[in-house]
Amino acid sequence: MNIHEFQAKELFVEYNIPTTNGLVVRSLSEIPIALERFPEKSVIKAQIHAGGRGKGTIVGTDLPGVYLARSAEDTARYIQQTLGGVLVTNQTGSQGKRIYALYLCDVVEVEHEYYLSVQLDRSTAKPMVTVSRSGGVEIEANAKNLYSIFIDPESGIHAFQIRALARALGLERRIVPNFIELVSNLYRLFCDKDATLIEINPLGLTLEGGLIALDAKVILDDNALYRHPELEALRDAAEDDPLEDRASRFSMNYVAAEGDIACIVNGAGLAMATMDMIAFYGGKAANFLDLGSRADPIQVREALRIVQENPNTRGIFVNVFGGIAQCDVVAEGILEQCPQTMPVVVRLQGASAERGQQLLRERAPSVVLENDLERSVQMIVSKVRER
Amino acid sequence: MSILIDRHSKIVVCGITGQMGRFHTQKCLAYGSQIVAGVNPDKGRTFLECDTAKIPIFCTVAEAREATKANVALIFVPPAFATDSIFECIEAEIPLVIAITEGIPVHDMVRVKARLARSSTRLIGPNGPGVLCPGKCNASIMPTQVALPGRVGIVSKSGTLTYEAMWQLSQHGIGQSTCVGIGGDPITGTSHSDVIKLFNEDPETDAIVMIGEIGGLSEVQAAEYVSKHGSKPLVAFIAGSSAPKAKRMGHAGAMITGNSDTAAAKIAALRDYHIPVAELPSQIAQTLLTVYRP
Repeated sequence: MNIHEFQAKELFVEYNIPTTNGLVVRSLSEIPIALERFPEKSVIKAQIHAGGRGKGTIVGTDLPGVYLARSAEDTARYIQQTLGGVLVTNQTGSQGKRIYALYLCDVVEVEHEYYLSVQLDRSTAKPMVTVSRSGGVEIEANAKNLYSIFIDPESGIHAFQIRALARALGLERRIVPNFIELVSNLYRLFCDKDATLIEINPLGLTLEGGLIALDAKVILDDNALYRHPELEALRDAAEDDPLEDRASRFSMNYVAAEGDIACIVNGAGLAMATMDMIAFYGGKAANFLDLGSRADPIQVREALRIVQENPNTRGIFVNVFGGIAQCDVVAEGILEQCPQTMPVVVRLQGASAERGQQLLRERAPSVVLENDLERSVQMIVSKVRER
Repeated sequence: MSILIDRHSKIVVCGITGQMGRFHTQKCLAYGSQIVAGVNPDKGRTFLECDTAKIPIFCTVAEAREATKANVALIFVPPAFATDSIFECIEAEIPLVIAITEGIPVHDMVRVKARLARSSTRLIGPNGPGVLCPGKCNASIMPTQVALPGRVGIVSKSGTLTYEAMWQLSQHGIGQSTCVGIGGDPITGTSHSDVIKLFNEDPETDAIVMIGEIGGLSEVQAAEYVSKHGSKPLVAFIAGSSAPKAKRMGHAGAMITGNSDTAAAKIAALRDYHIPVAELPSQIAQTLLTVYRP
């Protein structure tokens, strides 16, 4: 689960990680309060779950998603022009993300900007702390400057490891104790809250020699939220695709995509591969939808409803390999919610496939049945193209 | 011989009394697997009646092992309790633990991995379909009706893509020695290369199918291993070419986080190591036939 920068900074405060103070503005009526707190300069940051905000643009303006306001008038004007607007960055896709909240922070003069992150490294199965001397930029473009340490989860992080990070950053000796405390606190936060990534980019070195988190990105493990009700409360429903939410309520996984062929598949791997095949034959999938291993009729019915609510859907492809899921049970679900207004191609294979096909043949003659995987994909692609 | 399990495997099922545990216990029994015990901390000294079988239930894995000599544990315990169950199996020195459970917190898996390194236990999964040796033993949730006994090993992160591959191979008359689902989580007990190593050493496996997806580098690390130590024909398929960045695609581990864990990057890396990669999931068997004749 992603959380907003201001929420991440609240966690930082809780763990004594120095960060900029700020104020969240959610409506124009809060402008006077904002100006009282920030009568002169402020940094204003759009709160969306995506990166690249500084280089992004708010639709209909030439304003970026991170803005240095130089006066009270400037602050008020930026809030008026951007709150409720749509921010497009290199990470949001062309549709962008709507800005429901702006975060105003103190302007901090810094001497240098570093990069600092903690994440789980999949290859070593260990937490990994990474630093770079050059922060404030996209870190992948800058991979050769990265330095990482790996942490033994049983003994935790040690000062000598953090000193190695400090050396890699070329930190002055007088700053190192602060840095050790900051990284230790960050690691504690990472473990306590079941985070999968915490990123401070940039970490500022102030003129007085202090360290301060100027930005904060925290990703939490969805699978661990059951043991953190306080973090579940940070979920921003406005950021989530409502169809994704509905699918998850029925124990299914839905991810929107940009095409027009809706996919309903059992199993994540096969669901991805189905989208790949549609693309291979020149079509474009409208979504990823994994029914899960069981695939009961209620799930299938709900899946059909969900994909039809996507206005881009112009055809539906159901691909089920029966195992735990029984194809005849899937067929019953299809019968309950089968659309008449668009082409539906169904491929059933594996457990009870014949019985499922027979059911559909008898009771849903408009459904196109094709058992061969490649031919079935070609069929839905050409049927949607014909329309 | 096959890898990991065979006719002699004695299986203890953790979470045997739950809906999923009970259902799959019946299926495994029907396939001829020796399910010798179940574990439920509150239902010791009772039995699970499965058709004609009567499976004793123990409060702890250690008791189950002591009484039945079980050497494989199959875990269906819900995610909030599954980590505890895995640790219990490691403590009881069960040599092979297969965790089907989906949704275990990834920090728990970090601790499990550290503990595994100091043990003699191998963990398969979590969040995978388990292990099936066609004709010999089923310690999985796989649809056994599409499997055919034979000499090709399958190792995969995905359940249904494994079934797809099994079915295709069977349709071509190519049987399988062992089908291993390593699971779709970011951190799993056993990697692609671990399983490929076992297949390399297995006299009853002649060729290998590796199925992967976006996220992590397990497939590329396996390819590197194969280029150095591989002795048997191996083909691959990687799912997720059309997946968007930074979106979790069903599996907790199926997420593109950079430039090296996309499907395109993995396919390119595999081909650099001269591993044939099927372009479509429907062409896994055909691709295998370009390098292997049964």
